[in-house]
Amino acid sequence: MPNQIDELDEELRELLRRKADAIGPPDGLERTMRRSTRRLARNAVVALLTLGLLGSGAVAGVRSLGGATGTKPADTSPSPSPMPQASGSSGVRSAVSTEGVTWFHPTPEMPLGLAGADGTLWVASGGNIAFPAPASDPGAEAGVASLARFDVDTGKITTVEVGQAGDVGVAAAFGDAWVLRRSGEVIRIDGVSLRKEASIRVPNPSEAAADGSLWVVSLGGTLTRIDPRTNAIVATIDTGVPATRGIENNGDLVPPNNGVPATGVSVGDGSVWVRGGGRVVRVDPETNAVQTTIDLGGSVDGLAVGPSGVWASVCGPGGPPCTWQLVRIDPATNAVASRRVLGRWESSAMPGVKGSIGRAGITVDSGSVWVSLAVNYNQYARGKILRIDPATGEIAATLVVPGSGGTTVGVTEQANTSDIFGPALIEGGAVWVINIESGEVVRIDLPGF
Amino acid sequence: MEADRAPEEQRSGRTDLFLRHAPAALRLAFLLTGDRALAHDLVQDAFVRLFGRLLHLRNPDAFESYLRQTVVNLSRMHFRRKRVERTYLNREQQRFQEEATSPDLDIREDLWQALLQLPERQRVAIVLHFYEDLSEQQASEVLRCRPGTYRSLVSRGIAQLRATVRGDQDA
Repeated sequence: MPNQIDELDEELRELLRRKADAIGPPDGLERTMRRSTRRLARNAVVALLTLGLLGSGAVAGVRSLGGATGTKPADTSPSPSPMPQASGSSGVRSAVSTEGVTWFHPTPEMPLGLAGADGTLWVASGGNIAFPAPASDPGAEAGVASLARFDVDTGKITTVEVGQAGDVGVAAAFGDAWVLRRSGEVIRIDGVSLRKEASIRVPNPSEAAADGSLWVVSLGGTLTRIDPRTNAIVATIDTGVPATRGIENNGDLVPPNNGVPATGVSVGDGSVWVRGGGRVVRVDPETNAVQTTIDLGGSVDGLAVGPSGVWASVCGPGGPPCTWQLVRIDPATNAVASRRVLGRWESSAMPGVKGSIGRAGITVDSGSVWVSLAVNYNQYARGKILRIDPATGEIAATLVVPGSGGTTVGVTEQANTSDIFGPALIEGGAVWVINIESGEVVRIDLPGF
Repeated sequence: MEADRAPEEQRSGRTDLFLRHAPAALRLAFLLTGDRALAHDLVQDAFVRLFGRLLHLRNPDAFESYLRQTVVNLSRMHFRRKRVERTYLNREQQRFQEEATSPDLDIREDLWQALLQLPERQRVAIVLHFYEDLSEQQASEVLRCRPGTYRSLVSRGIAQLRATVRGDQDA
């Protein structure tokens, strides 16, 4: 801090005081009271609904890594809280829980990527990417991207830096974390030591999945196959999905739609499946060749492969506005076996429309298909988790993900802030969701895994 | 506890909190955003959020600090959204300029404009230091950064302001 008090400092103090005084009295008391009353009522309803789910057995119980089981949350404040740790740090993060939902905060700034395997959860955070350094002061504001390792049993969290702030994703494979830097790099981080094992140049990596190899799809639609024994690229495959470069931001590429990668990849049923544009492309790992391209129309947002088939969330036919559908592809025929309407994305304009669904992520386990929805994306968004019975395609359970400490991140008529939920993930007997804007990682304990 | 009180009493308690703390929150929001209408919106949002969490505040007596943190968070979220959703950036910049307060001839309008042009985190740091008079520890907690980062933000912000103002004078 500069200790010297010069003329400019004094002028600045005077300027701020006078500008602040000139703003006048606040208005909106009545409006604030109405909104807060509605929110409190909504919180009560959500609490009752959640308790109802508990009673029906849909919610397994309370799991708290930071406090006593079953207690009310100690704090939902925007926090006088510990600093995000920068490098090589570890500790048990603060967590609050209520009725089967646990919030972990703070995570490093801007969590964007979520992956998990073998009881370990990985969260990749972009750092301060919203405030890029000005050209006159490069590096001054950018900060660092980081990777956090959550032990889902103990709550221990260890964080390492993974380069300059920027858009990131993460995959868990071969016991390690693979950090995807959209700027053109895949970084392999040792799952135990958290040391950097390798850096592999891959153009604009979007998502990755693994069977015997690591498969990385680029924003441009290229599929890159990496041998985990040598960390060498052994094949690059043009999948033919539409190239999407993303938005240039501080020299980095930010995928459109606030972090939803335009392309994605999943493995299962002996194939590699790539999504991009309105298509799902099936690749044969034996030949590294495209087997078939399935046109689903619209835009494919989520893709997951499980025992019940290949599942995709599609918003189409054009738009937004468009209609979200949960589509199941039968891998035996490569044909669409079922479609189920999930809702509408009414508009991408700000402010959004109440009830509008801005994104739909999918994850699959042996017994269920889980759909993570961000409702009313451009205003406050509610995270909503649907559990789908793969046999019938019907919704077996619905849970609105509350915000910190039991307050609902509710839909309001105000349009100047939002809470954006990323895709869900299942690990360690729970559904995990990241909240991009609040920087929270949310754990929802549900049975049936 | 709020939940144990009658609805009218709860409402009265919230009204008292609003009347007591909203003016300071509005001044802070305005200094962070430079936008009068946005400042009013942010303050309303901050109160709605905090009122929804009154039951769970670790220390209800620290409402003012929670409110300050929430206002800063909401302003940062506002600017973050604008940065990410580039589609709206130009429109917002235009609105930002149009809605800036009218010049006060008695004060350094050039300094005010230079402050508004600072990177958002630098501006927050400057306001927390020169207006809110927070300690390094308090301010770095509000900004969720290390104290060294906070010091750096203030220093760079001042340097930038000095360069801008003196540059203007030299021109």
